[in-house]
Amino acid sequence: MFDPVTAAILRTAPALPELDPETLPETLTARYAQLVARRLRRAEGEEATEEDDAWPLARIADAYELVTSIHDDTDVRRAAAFVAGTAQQILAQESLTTDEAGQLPILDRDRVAPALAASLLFLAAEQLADANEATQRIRISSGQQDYVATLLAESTRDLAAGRLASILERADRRPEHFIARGGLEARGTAALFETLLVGVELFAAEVLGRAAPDKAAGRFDSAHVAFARVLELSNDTYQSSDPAVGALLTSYPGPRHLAALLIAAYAATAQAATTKIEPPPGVDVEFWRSWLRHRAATAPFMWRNHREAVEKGFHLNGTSAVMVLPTGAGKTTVSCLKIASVLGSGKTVIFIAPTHALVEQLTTDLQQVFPEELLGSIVSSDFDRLFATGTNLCLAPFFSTSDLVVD
Amino acid sequence: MTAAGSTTAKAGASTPKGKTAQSAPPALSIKAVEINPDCTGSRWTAGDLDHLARIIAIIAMGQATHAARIIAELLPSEPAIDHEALRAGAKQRLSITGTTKKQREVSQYHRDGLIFEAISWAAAQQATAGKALLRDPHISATTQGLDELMIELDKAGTDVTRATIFEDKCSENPDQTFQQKIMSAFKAHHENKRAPELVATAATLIEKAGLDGTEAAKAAARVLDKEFRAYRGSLAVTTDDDSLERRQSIFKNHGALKDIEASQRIGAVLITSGEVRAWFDELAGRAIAFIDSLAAGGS
Repeated sequence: MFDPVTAAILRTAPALPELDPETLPETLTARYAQLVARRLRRAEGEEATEEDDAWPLARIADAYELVTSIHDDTDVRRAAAFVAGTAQQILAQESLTTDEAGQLPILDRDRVAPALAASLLFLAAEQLADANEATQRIRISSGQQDYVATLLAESTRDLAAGRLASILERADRRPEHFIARGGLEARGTAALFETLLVGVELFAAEVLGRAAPDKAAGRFDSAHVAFARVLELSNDTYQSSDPAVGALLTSYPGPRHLAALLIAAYAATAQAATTKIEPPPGVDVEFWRSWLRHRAATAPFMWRNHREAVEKGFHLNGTSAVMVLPTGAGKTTVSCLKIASVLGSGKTVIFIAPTHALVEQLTTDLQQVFPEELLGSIVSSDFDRLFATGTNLCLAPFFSTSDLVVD
Repeated sequence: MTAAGSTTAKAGASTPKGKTAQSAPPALSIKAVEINPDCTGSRWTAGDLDHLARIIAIIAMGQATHAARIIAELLPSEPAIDHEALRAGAKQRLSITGTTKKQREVSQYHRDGLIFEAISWAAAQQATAGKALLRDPHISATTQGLDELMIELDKAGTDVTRATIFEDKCSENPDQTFQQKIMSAFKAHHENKRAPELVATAATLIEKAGLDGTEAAKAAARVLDKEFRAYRGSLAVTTDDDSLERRQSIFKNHGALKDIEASQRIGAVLITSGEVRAWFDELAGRAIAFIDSLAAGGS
């Protein structure tokens, strides 16, 4: 069920009693097969219960989510998060996970709904496509929780889906202060969630390379600081001289757990922000930064393989490169960095594709990636315009084996 | 400085006027009782009602203090919460509010539920001599939540030896409440349904235990391991239900949680003198009086 790369990541998860991480890919595959078999039996009207096993899927999901929440090692958290997210994703296919139907709060003092947690777990594992997919299972029913928790859940969902501009738009229209229903503890819960919301807004602004929204600006030095503050404030000890009470642990487990997941997600993805790619030598810095900010609106994070290409200088001017990637692995995304680098140094790009149909599709795509207002010229598939004023990115069909770029 | 500015409350918060907490008799009398071969019984009665009320008041004050600290630190523009506001916040949780009969009924239901969780917490503290890890008792926003999780560690403080899930309910119909509501929650945990409250609470407790690295991972696995799991269902009942026969009736289907020992199935009863709701009302009144007795600024 898992490709070799994915299986390798799963195997780096920490060992748990009677659960060897070497066997995790096989174990998860077996659980998935059992789940599908149960679903088929139920569809045929037969009774189907889960096999008795020391490590059923829900326990794998819960245990590794818990490890992600409490472990001190970033690499361990990343691997644990991936196992937890994967187990939850498999489980979500079974109708038994009905608590996601919007009948329960998505967030409250004591819980983070599994679907919301799963999307953050995938972010923490730097599995951006999985994080996006996991957001589709998030059901936020307003009225089940305080308004601030609803907004936080919505912005967290947008974060995992890579819709960071939506987070900043929500920040602009949300209230500055929230009124919590209930007494002091309800106000405390709301304050913790409000801080996490500010953290998510700072996170989005940082990744997009934009100024922090007014309501979040100046509150904390960074998103991480906001999340860490919640982690710290969620637990407290009330020391009583009455031995029957002793040291009373007072706690807000839901905000604490969400803060821990956000810290893990931030650690794994903040450095992957598209806007953080340094301008290549010889490239107009202002053009480069403007283009990255534009690009980040639709592609806020660089995938790991894209970052590897950047680290190897693939995008630098004067560096010839051949890239071979499977469909959907981001050839065009990485190519765009190369194109931006060339355009930013005042040169012209010829992009050659093998068919007329692909030329037309790529022309449309690249016009969005390089809009006229940013480029000062038009992306065109009219090859005759290549030498005309106003075009310095031109697409053409494949016409010779000596062509420069083949997509 | 506001009360919210301090990390921990002054020890005096627990010392009422004219009394020394250390010499106070046990708040609860806890006795092992028989139920059936599937289930271990525990019977609680108030040893000292004033002491019990004081514990409930201290918990409420501790919770109010923590909330005030969060508000003061995260929302500095909000008005400072002084000691009077703190006491008012603590008392509010122990009071019945609402203007309509229905509102007051719901409020009383919540208030009594909260107090019973505090008693259940106190029973666990007393029985484990304060060595177990528990979060502060508070009512979950959902009825499907987790009333309490108690984690016990070995002497070295590194290995989880038991994780007990609590369900605490006040009800006029203890048989039905245990056999349906409580057992339904226990079964969900026992059948490994996803348990977001358990994950979040266990994370809080494992962090509190100071475990990290491999120990934390092992603790995470143990908390979710049926072999180390116990289920304690507690009910507040009157003296009418204070008999072996009644306990056998109430807890008759506890054994439906398969593949665990009788010691992992615990049925507990709190025996109230007189009608349950009236007993809770009396206790709440004494807890509120204790909070009122705390000297302003001195607590």
